[in-house]
Amino acid sequence: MDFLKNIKKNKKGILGSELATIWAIIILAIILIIFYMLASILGLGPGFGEKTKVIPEKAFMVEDSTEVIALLKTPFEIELDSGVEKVTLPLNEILKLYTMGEVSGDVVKEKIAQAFEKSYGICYAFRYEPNFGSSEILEERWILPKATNIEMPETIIFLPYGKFYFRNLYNWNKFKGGVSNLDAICQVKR
Amino acid sequence: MRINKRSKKAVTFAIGIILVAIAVTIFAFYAALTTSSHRKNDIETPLFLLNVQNEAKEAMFYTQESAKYASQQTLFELLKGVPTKGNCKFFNSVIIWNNNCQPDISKIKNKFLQTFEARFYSYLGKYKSTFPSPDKQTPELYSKVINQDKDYTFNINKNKLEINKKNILSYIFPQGMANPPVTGTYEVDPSFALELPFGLNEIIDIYKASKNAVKDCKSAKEVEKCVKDELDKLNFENFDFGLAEKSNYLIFKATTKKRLFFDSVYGRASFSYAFSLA
Repeated sequence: MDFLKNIKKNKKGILGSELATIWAIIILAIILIIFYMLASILGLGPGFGEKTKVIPEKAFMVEDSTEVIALLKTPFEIELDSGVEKVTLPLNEILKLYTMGEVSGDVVKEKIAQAFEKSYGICYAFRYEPNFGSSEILEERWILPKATNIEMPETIIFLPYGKFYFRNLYNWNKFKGGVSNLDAICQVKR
Repeated sequence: MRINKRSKKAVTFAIGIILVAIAVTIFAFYAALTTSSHRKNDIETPLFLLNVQNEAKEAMFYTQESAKYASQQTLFELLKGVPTKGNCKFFNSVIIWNNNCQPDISKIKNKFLQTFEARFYSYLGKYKSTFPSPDKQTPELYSKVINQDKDYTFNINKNKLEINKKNILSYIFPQGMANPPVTGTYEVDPSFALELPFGLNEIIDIYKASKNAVKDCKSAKEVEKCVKDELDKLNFENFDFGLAEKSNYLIFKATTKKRLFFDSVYGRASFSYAFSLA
């Protein structure tokens, strides 16, 4: 208040002219506000009222094909020729047999469920598109994430006879958090 | 407006402050931009590398799968007409093997490699990269990494098919694929070995074993049973034998124990040959 009184009374201040000083301070403040606003708009820093995100979400959006390739290499026992012969084949060969119409889609679904019941329960989704043959597209819980617009990592493996898509809903929910009883919801059989 | 000496000094000082403020602002912007770019690089580059690494893994899996199916199809086809040397005759459309007509290993290998190579490259040519799933980038570019150079070499060692590539696979980070731009290459050696359902030399072993068995059993009461027992004693790991005696000829049918994939068939491959009992 003394400072303002000084301006009115003496028309001079610490810099010789209080008016010039105030103008300098105002201009400086305007420059700083513009800088802060521009920085926010250009994404160089946190926006107004926003907290800085240290880990960007997309770091977790990277697909990891290791798990899906391992699944495709996992051997399963299946019956051929209406149960006459039992053979043990990796899932990718079972998918080829499905493409050729030699095994049913239910067999493929059952084998994949068998592979995941202990770790993810029913919290996964897959889709298989055969390249040739009369077999139809095979899906398991695939529509749900698309319909609800859930953005989550999706692994796509291109095979000589088709395309295999996979989503791990269990891991995704674990990462997103907010689900306390995930194992129960996913019916994980540990 | 009257400006006294003191006011002039103050105005100069105020302008000085503003100039300094502008300089500091410019420097702050520059520093913020540079730091942000570094921070972005620290996150973006490893993510980009992870994506490329995944693509390489998927491409390698596709290559190995292609080799597996190409080799099984080739073996299936090879057994339909086993290459031989000499002047061959037939009995009821079955080739008669003897000293003048016998399977030729070098011809067998050549035919296998020739057919395999064509089928293998045909599969590789169909490879469609699924990378990148996140927008912007071009999958065609990554598909080309495995299907543009046909510089693989193939070698058969017993029942192993060795597949080596002259040039390693190079995933070059093209400009504009990452922001800020990432430069460099991710390299993978795609060489691998594949176990065949049977070794090509086994065809020669079958010829020799059958010839010896026929020679030993010619004078036996039950030639067919005798030859079968002789072959069973040798315990062929990958083949089963069926025999039939017809008009002084013993017809053999060698069938693979394992099933093979051949186009739209998943079955056992077999080949037939005959030996004269005269």
